[in-house]
Amino acid sequence: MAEARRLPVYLLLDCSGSMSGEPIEAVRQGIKALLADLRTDPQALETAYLSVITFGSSAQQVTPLTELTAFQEPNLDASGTTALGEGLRVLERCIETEVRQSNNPEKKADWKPLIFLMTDGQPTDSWQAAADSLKQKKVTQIIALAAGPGADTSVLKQITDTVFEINNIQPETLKAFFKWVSSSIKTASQPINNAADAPLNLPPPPTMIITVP
Amino acid sequence: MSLTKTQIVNALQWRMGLINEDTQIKRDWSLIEDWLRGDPQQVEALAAKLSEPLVAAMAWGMMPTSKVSREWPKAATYWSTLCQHLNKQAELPNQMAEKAAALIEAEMQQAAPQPSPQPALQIAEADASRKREMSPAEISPVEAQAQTFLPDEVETVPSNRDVKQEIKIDMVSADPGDEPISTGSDNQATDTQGTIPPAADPQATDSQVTDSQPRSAPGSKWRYESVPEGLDKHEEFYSLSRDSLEGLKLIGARARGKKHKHEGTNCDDWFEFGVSGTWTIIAVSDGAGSKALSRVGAKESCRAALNLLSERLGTHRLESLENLSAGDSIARDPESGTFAAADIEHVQLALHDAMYAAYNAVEVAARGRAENPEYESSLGHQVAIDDLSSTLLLAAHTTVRYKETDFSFILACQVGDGMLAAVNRKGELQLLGVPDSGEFAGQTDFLTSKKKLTRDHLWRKTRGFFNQLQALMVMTDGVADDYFPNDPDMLRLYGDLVVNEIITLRGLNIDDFTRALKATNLPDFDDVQRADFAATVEAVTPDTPRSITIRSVAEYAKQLGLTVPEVVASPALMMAAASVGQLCDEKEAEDKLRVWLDSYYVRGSFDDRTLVVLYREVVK
Repeated sequence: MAEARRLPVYLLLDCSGSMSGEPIEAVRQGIKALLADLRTDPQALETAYLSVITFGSSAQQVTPLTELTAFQEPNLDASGTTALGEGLRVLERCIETEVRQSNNPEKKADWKPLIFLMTDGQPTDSWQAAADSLKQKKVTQIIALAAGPGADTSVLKQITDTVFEINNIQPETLKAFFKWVSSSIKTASQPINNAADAPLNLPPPPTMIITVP
Repeated sequence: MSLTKTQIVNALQWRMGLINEDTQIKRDWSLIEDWLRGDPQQVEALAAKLSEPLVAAMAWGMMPTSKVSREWPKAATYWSTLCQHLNKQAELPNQMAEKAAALIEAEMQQAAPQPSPQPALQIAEADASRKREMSPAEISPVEAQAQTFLPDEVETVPSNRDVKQEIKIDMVSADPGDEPISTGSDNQATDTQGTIPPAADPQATDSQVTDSQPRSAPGSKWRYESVPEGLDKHEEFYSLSRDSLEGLKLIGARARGKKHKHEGTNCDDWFEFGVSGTWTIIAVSDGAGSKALSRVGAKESCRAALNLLSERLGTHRLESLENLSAGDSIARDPESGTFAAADIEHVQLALHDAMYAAYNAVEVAARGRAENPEYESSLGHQVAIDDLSSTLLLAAHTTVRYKETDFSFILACQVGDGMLAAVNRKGELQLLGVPDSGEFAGQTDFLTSKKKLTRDHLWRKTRGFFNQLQALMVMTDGVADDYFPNDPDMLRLYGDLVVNEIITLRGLNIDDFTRALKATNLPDFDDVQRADFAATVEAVTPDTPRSITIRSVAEYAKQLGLTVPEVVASPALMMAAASVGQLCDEKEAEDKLRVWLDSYYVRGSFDDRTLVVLYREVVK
């Protein structure tokens, strides 16, 4: 019997030193809220699979793609620099190995993966090539969040067209963001016959989140 | 520490003196004792649950047959097996005890409480009073979620095992609900604190999770919202049947998907079929989920295509095929796809023209709505043809007298996803569909993308069948995706339709069943009646959830020790399974099909489901 189609969701989170203290705690709370919300949704429960990739001085996948009911919140520690480029490379590798595309006739293809990228600073490694490679493959739908005044929206704009901005990393703001992430996931697991190049159908973001044009 | 239902049942059998003790059983029993903690409520709840089949069987035995015969076929099976084993083998006390033990074990296992499909979090949220009433098995850890049917590659049971052993193993592999029941510290924590920690099992990651049918869907979170009143309302479901020609029957049904029920939106699928001259014509369409008026496109395209094909094929007869000599294939130009025989090319052109006619009808329907302000305010923009995007699958069937035998000729064409599949009278599969799909799931083409309607594109999606037909199945993606990979899983679909008695086969009797079963792991018809190859699922309906027991040909094949294609190739084996009982109270084939479509559970499957079947009842 074939496996179910999955909606792979990757959270690519900045865990550099500047995130330590309150900001990283806000992210933890946000992920908690995200899980609690998704676990009430029957479609998300059947389809959404979550993975967490963090980047500081280096990048790693801290949680492999896991279904919601089995997902455990990872331990997030903030320290070091902002290796966004490495984060993107890890992401690309994870997608390559974890996401099923339709070129395999024996396995059901997954829904197009959804990526949420959050950063509060400037990348400290080279990221351009990794961003280009990811963009070229068109395999993902990336939603980027520039968190706080130190984040560089122009960098994020080169990674994806969909960039949002928040002015501070307060628990309430991040919670609102993750709440919105949750509703985006619910929406994304819905369109069954989305044409390949159809624009991502996102719900409107909450008021404290600013869309970067 | 965890216990399966098999272990519980074994331990109870040991307590009844039906089987010998061993250290494992004693250990299990002490676990059960710990776990029940002498709580009379817990003990009674479990005992009542386990005795259900016996109570049902006895109640059945006391009722006038006319009153209950249609109500609960399972009870009849319990009663008859019970009688058989108590009477027939009375002169063989040892064997009887063994069989009785096996029977009780089998029945109790079936009745054993099912672990809750809810994730841990929801159990934690449930109020305390409800938890009090839960049987222990319902409080299941998240790890139980990962347990479902055993994967296909699990070995089948060797046939030389003794009866008791064999049934036991079968039951284990058959029972998707036979999930570990947690005892010990986890549950203690549940009882005292009212929460279960989130999944802690690192094994239970995605790679371990299979999606084959658990006992019931995570149904409780699926809401039911009725179809909205208003523009272009499509009824909840629809089913239809008619006699085709030459003894073939035609049934079709569509059911609104769970997603649409949850959101209170329309079913986007549509189907039409008809008979014209010697031709049977089928049209099935799936409206794009992301488009607000796709259901209109689905309906208009099916109707227009059926009309055009009825008109063009009504007086058309195939003569070239009657003169084919043995070994010849139906010639087709590899460059242009043109059939050498003009009468076959005529059918191909008719199919392609039906696609254009469908496109035109959709365009007209879009234009007709473009001026309507009601649509504009509901959509937020003027109606365009894209808002009516849908797929279209077409099939035309006729019977040709060839070498003094009736052969079926089918030509099929499709735009977008979905599948057309034919099964011949030997039980062999031929896919007639060529779905368009992108890199990831859910990416397909639609009739409204005009570039898909060129001759060059369409002929590559036009496929023929010339053979003795058992069944032709035409379906939207909502069904095709649940039987993946389509080759060979379309055979499983056909098998499921037969073992659930949606498609009724005729022409064989119990002697044929017995002969066919002899060489399998269920060597008697009794064994089939006793075997459990069904799962109870809950359909999302307007009222209370409707509980339906659905048989699985894959499970049945596993217990027979055969593959699905082997079972499908044997009408006798399938009929034996179908005769065990009925799917639902609905009597007509098309209604049974509709109920089945509305009910069967596959994880991650919540699309509208539409299936049309052209089939032969007589198999001999």
